[in-house]
Amino acid sequence: MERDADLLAALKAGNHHAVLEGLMTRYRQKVMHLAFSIMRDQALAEDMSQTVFVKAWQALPKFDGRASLSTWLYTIARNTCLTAVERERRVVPLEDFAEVADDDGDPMVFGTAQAGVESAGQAAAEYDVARLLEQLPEPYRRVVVLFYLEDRSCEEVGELLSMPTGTVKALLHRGRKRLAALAGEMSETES
Amino acid sequence: MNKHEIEARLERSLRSQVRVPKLDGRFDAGVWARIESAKASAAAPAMPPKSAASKWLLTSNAIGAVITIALVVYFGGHAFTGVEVNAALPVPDVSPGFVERAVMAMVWPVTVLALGVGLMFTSLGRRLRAEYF
Repeated sequence: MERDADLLAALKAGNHHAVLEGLMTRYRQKVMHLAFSIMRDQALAEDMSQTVFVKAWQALPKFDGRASLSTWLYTIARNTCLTAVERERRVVPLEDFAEVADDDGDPMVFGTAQAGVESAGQAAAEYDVARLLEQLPEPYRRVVVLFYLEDRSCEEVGELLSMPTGTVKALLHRGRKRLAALAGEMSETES
Repeated sequence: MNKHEIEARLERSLRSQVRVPKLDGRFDAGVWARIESAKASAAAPAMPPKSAASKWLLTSNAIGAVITIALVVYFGGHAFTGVEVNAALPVPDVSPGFVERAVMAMVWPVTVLALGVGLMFTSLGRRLRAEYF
Protein backbone atom coordinates (compact mmCIF):
# COMPACT_ATOMS: atom_id res chain seq x y z
CA MET A 1 0.00 0.00 0.00
CA GLU A 2 1.65 3.14 -1.20
CA ARG A 3 -0.79 5.85 -0.22
CA ASP A 4 -2.70 6.87 2.89
CA ALA A 5 -5.91 6.57 0.87
CA ASP A 6 -5.22 2.86 0.37
CA LEU A 7 -4.57 2.47 4.07
CA LEU A 8 -7.82 4.25 4.92
CA ALA A 9 -9.71 2.02 2.51
CA ALA A 10 -8.20 -1.05 4.15
CA LEU A 11 -9.09 0.38 7.53
CA LYS A 12 -12.71 0.85 6.45
CA ALA A 13 -12.73 -2.74 5.26
CA GLY A 14 -11.50 -3.79 8.70
CA ASN A 15 -8.22 -5.13 7.37
CA HIS A 16 -6.16 -3.90 10.31
CA HIS A 17 -3.30 -6.24 9.55
CA ALA A 18 -2.78 -4.67 6.13
CA VAL A 19 -3.12 -1.19 7.59
CA LEU A 20 -0.41 -1.78 10.15
CA GLU A 21 1.85 -3.38 7.55
CA GLY A 22 1.37 -0.30 5.39
CA LEU A 23 1.94 2.09 8.28
CA MET A 24 5.18 0.36 9.20
CA THR A 25 6.42 0.33 5.64
CA ARG A 26 5.65 4.00 5.15
CA TYR A 27 6.39 5.50 8.54
CA ARG A 28 8.69 3.27 10.58
CA GLN A 29 11.77 5.30 9.67
CA LYS A 30 10.10 8.61 10.44
CA VAL A 31 8.78 7.30 13.73
CA MET A 32 12.30 6.08 14.51
CA HIS A 33 13.70 9.54 13.73
CA LEU A 34 11.14 11.21 15.94
CA ALA A 35 11.77 8.74 18.74
CA PHE A 36 15.52 9.18 18.42
CA SER A 37 15.24 12.97 18.54
CA ILE A 38 13.42 12.63 21.86
CA MET A 39 15.06 9.58 23.45
CA ARG A 40 18.62 10.37 22.24
CA ASP A 41 19.50 6.70 22.36
CA GLN A 42 19.32 4.36 19.40
CA ALA A 43 18.21 1.22 21.25
CA LEU A 44 15.62 3.10 23.28
CA ALA A 45 14.37 4.85 20.16
CA GLU A 46 13.88 1.53 18.37
CA ASP A 47 12.13 0.07 21.40
CA MET A 48 9.86 3.11 21.61
CA SER A 49 9.14 2.93 17.88
CA GLN A 50 7.97 -0.66 18.23
CA THR A 51 5.81 0.36 21.17
CA VAL A 52 4.32 3.11 19.02
CA PHE A 53 3.21 0.63 16.37
CA VAL A 54 1.79 -1.74 18.98
CA LYS A 55 -0.21 1.17 20.39
CA ALA A 56 -1.29 2.13 16.90
CA TRP A 57 -2.50 -1.44 16.32
CA GLN A 58 -4.53 -1.29 19.52
CA ALA A 59 -5.95 2.13 18.64
CA LEU A 60 -6.70 1.41 14.96
CA PRO A 61 -10.34 0.41 15.57
CA LYS A 62 -10.87 3.78 17.24
CA PHE A 63 -9.26 5.85 14.49
CA ASP A 64 -11.94 8.32 13.40
CA GLY A 65 -10.17 9.93 10.45
CA ARG A 66 -10.28 13.46 11.86
CA ALA A 67 -6.51 13.73 11.47
CA SER A 68 -4.40 12.12 8.78
CA LEU A 69 -2.90 8.75 9.56
CA SER A 70 0.59 10.22 9.70
CA THR A 71 -0.42 13.00 12.11
CA TRP A 72 -2.24 10.46 14.26
CA LEU A 73 0.77 8.15 14.27
CA TYR A 74 3.26 10.95 15.03
CA THR A 75 1.04 12.09 17.91
CA ILE A 76 1.13 8.58 19.36
CA ALA A 77 4.91 8.53 18.85
CA ARG A 78 5.50 11.91 20.50
CA ASN A 79 3.27 11.14 23.45
CA THR A 80 4.76 7.69 23.95
CA CYS A 81 8.33 8.99 23.93
CA LEU A 82 7.65 12.06 26.05
CA THR A 83 5.79 9.94 28.58
CA ALA A 84 8.70 7.50 28.70
CA VAL A 85 11.18 10.33 29.19
CA GLU A 86 9.00 11.88 31.85
CA ARG A 87 8.50 8.56 33.62
CA GLU A 88 12.10 7.59 33.69
CA ARG A 89 13.37 11.16 34.08
CA ARG A 90 16.19 10.05 31.92
CA VAL A 91 19.43 11.90 32.19
CA VAL A 92 21.65 10.71 29.41
CA PRO A 93 25.23 11.25 30.41
CA LEU A 94 27.67 12.56 27.88
CA GLU A 95 29.52 9.27 27.91
CA ASP A 96 26.52 7.51 26.36
CA PHE A 97 27.18 9.34 23.14
CA ALA A 98 30.84 10.09 23.27
CA GLU A 99 32.45 7.07 24.79
CA VAL A 100 30.58 4.10 23.39
CA ALA A 101 32.83 1.99 21.24
CA ASP A 102 31.83 -0.39 18.49
CA ASP A 103 33.22 -3.86 17.99
CA ASP A 104 36.33 -2.53 16.29
CA GLY A 105 37.04 -0.19 19.12
CA ASP A 106 36.20 2.85 17.02
CA PRO A 107 34.09 5.53 18.58
CA MET A 108 30.39 5.47 17.70
CA VAL A 109 29.26 9.03 17.47
CA PHE A 110 25.61 9.82 18.11
CA GLY A 111 24.61 6.22 17.92
CA THR A 112 26.15 5.47 14.53
CA ALA A 113 29.49 4.01 13.64
CA GLN A 114 30.58 6.88 11.52
CA ALA A 115 34.22 6.28 12.19
CA GLY A 116 35.58 3.93 9.61
CA VAL A 117 33.17 5.23 6.99
CA GLU A 118 35.23 8.38 6.65
CA SER A 119 38.92 8.94 6.52
CA ALA A 120 40.78 9.68 9.70
CA GLY A 121 41.66 13.15 8.43
CA GLN A 122 38.06 14.04 7.71
CA ALA A 123 36.91 12.69 11.07
CA ALA A 124 39.52 14.81 12.77
CA ALA A 125 38.28 17.87 10.91
CA GLU A 126 34.80 17.43 12.31
CA TYR A 127 33.25 18.46 15.57
CA ASP A 128 32.05 16.01 18.14
CA VAL A 129 28.37 16.55 17.40
CA ALA A 130 27.19 14.52 20.36
CA ARG A 131 29.06 16.81 22.73
CA LEU A 132 27.76 19.91 21.03
CA LEU A 133 24.16 18.72 20.95
CA GLU A 134 24.41 17.71 24.58
CA GLN A 135 24.86 21.36 25.43
CA LEU A 136 22.06 22.53 23.17
CA PRO A 137 18.77 22.96 25.06
CA GLU A 138 15.37 21.73 23.93
CA PRO A 139 13.55 22.39 21.66
CA TYR A 140 16.53 23.44 19.53
CA ARG A 141 18.23 20.09 19.81
CA ARG A 142 15.17 18.12 18.75
CA VAL A 143 14.68 20.33 15.72
CA VAL A 144 18.35 20.20 14.71
CA VAL A 145 18.52 16.42 15.05
CA LEU A 146 15.32 15.88 13.09
CA PHE A 147 16.37 18.37 10.43
CA TYR A 148 19.47 16.34 9.64
CA LEU A 149 17.71 12.99 10.02
CA GLU A 150 14.92 14.08 7.69
CA ASP A 151 17.28 15.15 4.92
CA ARG A 152 17.11 18.77 5.92
CA SER A 153 13.42 19.35 5.30
CA CYS A 154 11.75 21.87 7.61
CA GLU A 155 8.32 20.74 6.41
CA GLU A 156 8.98 17.15 7.46
CA VAL A 157 10.31 18.28 10.84
CA GLY A 158 7.25 20.48 11.33
CA GLU A 159 4.95 17.56 10.54
CA LEU A 160 6.77 15.26 12.94
CA LEU A 161 6.83 17.76 15.78
CA SER A 162 3.40 19.20 14.97
CA MET A 163 4.87 22.68 14.52
CA PRO A 164 4.45 25.28 11.79
CA THR A 165 7.32 25.31 9.30
CA GLY A 166 8.12 28.90 10.28
CA THR A 167 8.63 27.87 13.89
CA VAL A 168 10.92 25.05 12.78
CA LYS A 169 12.99 27.47 10.69
CA ALA A 170 13.28 29.93 13.56
CA LEU A 171 14.28 27.22 16.04
CA LEU A 172 16.74 25.79 13.56
CA HIS A 173 18.29 29.19 12.92
CA ARG A 174 18.72 29.91 16.62
CA GLY A 175 19.86 26.38 17.31
CA ARG A 176 22.55 26.59 14.68
CA LYS A 177 23.73 29.93 16.05
CA ARG A 178 24.05 28.41 19.48
CA LEU A 179 25.81 25.36 18.10
CA ALA A 180 28.22 27.55 16.14
CA ALA A 181 29.01 29.50 19.30
CA LEU A 182 29.62 26.26 21.18
CA ALA A 183 31.71 24.94 18.29
CA GLY A 184 33.76 28.13 18.33
CA GLU A 185 34.47 27.64 22.00
CA MET A 186 35.41 24.04 21.27
CA SER A 187 37.79 25.15 18.49
CA GLU A 188 39.46 27.62 20.85
CA THR A 189 40.07 24.97 23.45
CA GLU A 190 41.38 22.60 20.76
CA SER A 191 43.89 25.13 19.46
CA MET B 1 39.22 29.85 12.52
CA ASN B 2 36.64 32.37 11.33
CA LYS B 3 32.87 32.21 11.68
CA HIS B 4 32.26 30.80 8.18
CA GLU B 5 34.81 28.06 8.66
CA ILE B 6 33.21 27.10 11.96
CA GLU B 7 29.75 26.99 10.39
CA ALA B 8 30.98 24.94 7.42
CA ARG B 9 32.73 22.50 9.71
CA LEU B 10 29.66 22.31 11.92
CA GLU B 11 27.40 21.64 8.93
CA ARG B 12 29.70 18.89 7.71
CA SER B 13 29.80 17.34 11.17
CA LEU B 14 26.04 17.41 11.57
CA ARG B 15 25.45 15.89 8.15
CA SER B 16 27.83 13.04 8.71
CA GLN B 17 27.16 12.28 12.35
CA VAL B 18 23.43 12.69 12.91
CA ARG B 19 22.20 9.34 11.64
CA VAL B 20 20.20 6.38 12.76
CA PRO B 21 20.22 2.93 11.17
CA LYS B 22 17.65 2.07 8.55
CA LEU B 23 14.89 -0.14 9.91
CA ASP B 24 13.89 -3.24 7.99
CA GLY B 25 11.69 -6.31 8.20
CA ARG B 26 13.21 -7.31 11.51
CA PHE B 27 11.65 -4.23 13.06
CA ASP B 28 8.23 -5.22 11.67
CA ALA B 29 8.68 -8.78 12.93
CA GLY B 30 9.45 -7.39 16.39
CA VAL B 31 6.25 -5.34 16.32
CA TRP B 32 4.15 -8.35 15.30
CA ALA B 33 5.78 -10.45 18.01
CA ARG B 34 4.85 -7.84 20.58
CA ILE B 35 1.29 -7.72 19.29
CA GLU B 36 0.99 -11.51 19.49
CA SER B 37 2.39 -11.41 23.01
CA ALA B 38 -0.12 -8.72 24.00
CA LYS B 39 -2.94 -10.77 22.47
CA ALA B 40 -1.83 -13.89 24.34
CA SER B 41 -1.73 -12.10 27.66
CA ALA B 42 -5.12 -10.52 26.97
CA ALA B 43 -6.60 -13.92 26.12
CA ALA B 44 -5.36 -15.43 29.37
CA PRO B 45 -8.26 -16.12 31.79
CA ALA B 46 -8.96 -13.31 34.17
CA MET B 47 -9.64 -15.71 37.01
CA PRO B 48 -6.63 -17.53 38.36
CA PRO B 49 -6.75 -21.26 37.69
CA LYS B 50 -7.98 -23.39 40.54
CA SER B 51 -4.96 -24.67 42.32
CA ALA B 52 -4.59 -27.95 44.09
CA ALA B 53 -4.52 -26.01 47.36
CA SER B 54 -7.97 -24.57 46.76
CA LYS B 55 -9.31 -28.09 46.08
CA TRP B 56 -7.90 -29.25 49.39
CA LEU B 57 -9.40 -26.28 51.16
CA LEU B 58 -12.76 -27.00 49.57
CA THR B 59 -12.60 -30.64 50.68
CA SER B 60 -11.57 -29.78 54.23
CA ASN B 61 -14.32 -27.13 54.40
CA ALA B 62 -16.87 -29.68 53.26
CA ILE B 63 -15.68 -32.18 55.87
CA GLY B 64 -15.80 -29.46 58.52
CA ALA B 65 -19.31 -28.47 57.52
CA VAL B 66 -20.54 -32.08 57.66
CA ILE B 67 -18.98 -32.59 61.10
CA THR B 68 -20.48 -29.32 62.35
CA ILE B 69 -23.93 -30.29 61.15
CA ALA B 70 -23.60 -33.73 62.73
CA LEU B 71 -22.53 -32.19 66.07
CA VAL B 72 -25.32 -29.64 65.97
CA VAL B 73 -27.84 -32.41 65.31
CA TYR B 74 -26.38 -34.62 68.01
CA PHE B 75 -26.05 -32.03 70.79
CA GLY B 76 -29.19 -30.22 69.71
CA GLY B 77 -31.02 -33.53 70.01
CA HIS B 78 -29.60 -34.07 73.49
CA ALA B 79 -30.52 -30.58 74.58
CA PHE B 80 -34.05 -30.94 73.36
CA THR B 81 -34.64 -34.35 74.94
CA GLY B 82 -35.18 -32.75 78.38
CA VAL B 83 -37.67 -30.27 77.01
CA GLU B 84 -41.24 -31.01 76.02
CA VAL B 85 -41.21 -30.34 72.38
CA ASN B 86 -44.00 -31.58 70.22
CA ALA B 87 -41.75 -32.41 67.40
CA ALA B 88 -40.31 -35.67 66.21
CA LEU B 89 -36.58 -34.99 66.39
CA PRO B 90 -34.27 -37.56 64.85
CA VAL B 91 -32.28 -38.10 68.01
CA PRO B 92 -30.01 -41.09 67.61
CA ASP B 93 -29.99 -43.60 70.40
CA VAL B 94 -26.30 -43.66 71.28
CA SER B 95 -24.93 -45.20 74.43
CA PRO B 96 -22.10 -43.38 76.33
CA GLY B 97 -19.86 -46.40 75.85
CA PHE B 98 -20.24 -46.23 72.10
CA VAL B 99 -19.37 -42.53 72.06
CA GLU B 100 -16.25 -43.20 74.12
CA ARG B 101 -15.14 -46.01 71.83
CA ALA B 102 -15.89 -43.95 68.75
CA VAL B 103 -13.91 -40.99 70.05
CA MET B 104 -10.97 -43.20 71.00
CA ALA B 105 -11.05 -44.81 67.59
CA MET B 106 -11.13 -41.45 65.77
CA VAL B 107 -8.54 -39.59 67.83
CA TRP B 108 -5.48 -40.93 66.07
CA PRO B 109 -6.75 -40.91 62.51
CA VAL B 110 -8.08 -37.36 62.91
CA THR B 111 -4.82 -36.22 64.51
CA VAL B 112 -2.73 -37.79 61.78
CA LEU B 113 -5.03 -36.39 59.10
CA ALA B 114 -4.89 -32.88 60.58
CA LEU B 115 -1.13 -33.05 60.88
CA GLY B 116 -0.84 -34.29 57.31
CA VAL B 117 -3.05 -31.55 55.92
CA GLY B 118 -1.10 -28.96 57.88
CA LEU B 119 2.22 -30.28 56.63
CA MET B 120 0.99 -30.26 53.05
CA PHE B 121 0.85 -26.49 53.11
CA THR B 122 4.36 -26.00 54.41
CA SER B 123 7.11 -25.27 51.90
CA LEU B 124 8.31 -28.87 52.11
CA GLY B 125 4.80 -30.16 51.60
CA ARG B 126 4.29 -27.92 48.58
CA ARG B 127 7.53 -29.14 47.05
CA LEU B 128 6.58 -32.77 47.60
CA ARG B 129 3.10 -32.23 46.17
CA ALA B 130 4.54 -30.45 43.16
CA GLU B 131 6.93 -33.32 42.57
CA TYR B 132 4.66 -36.30 43.12
CA PHE B 133 1.11 -35.08 42.36
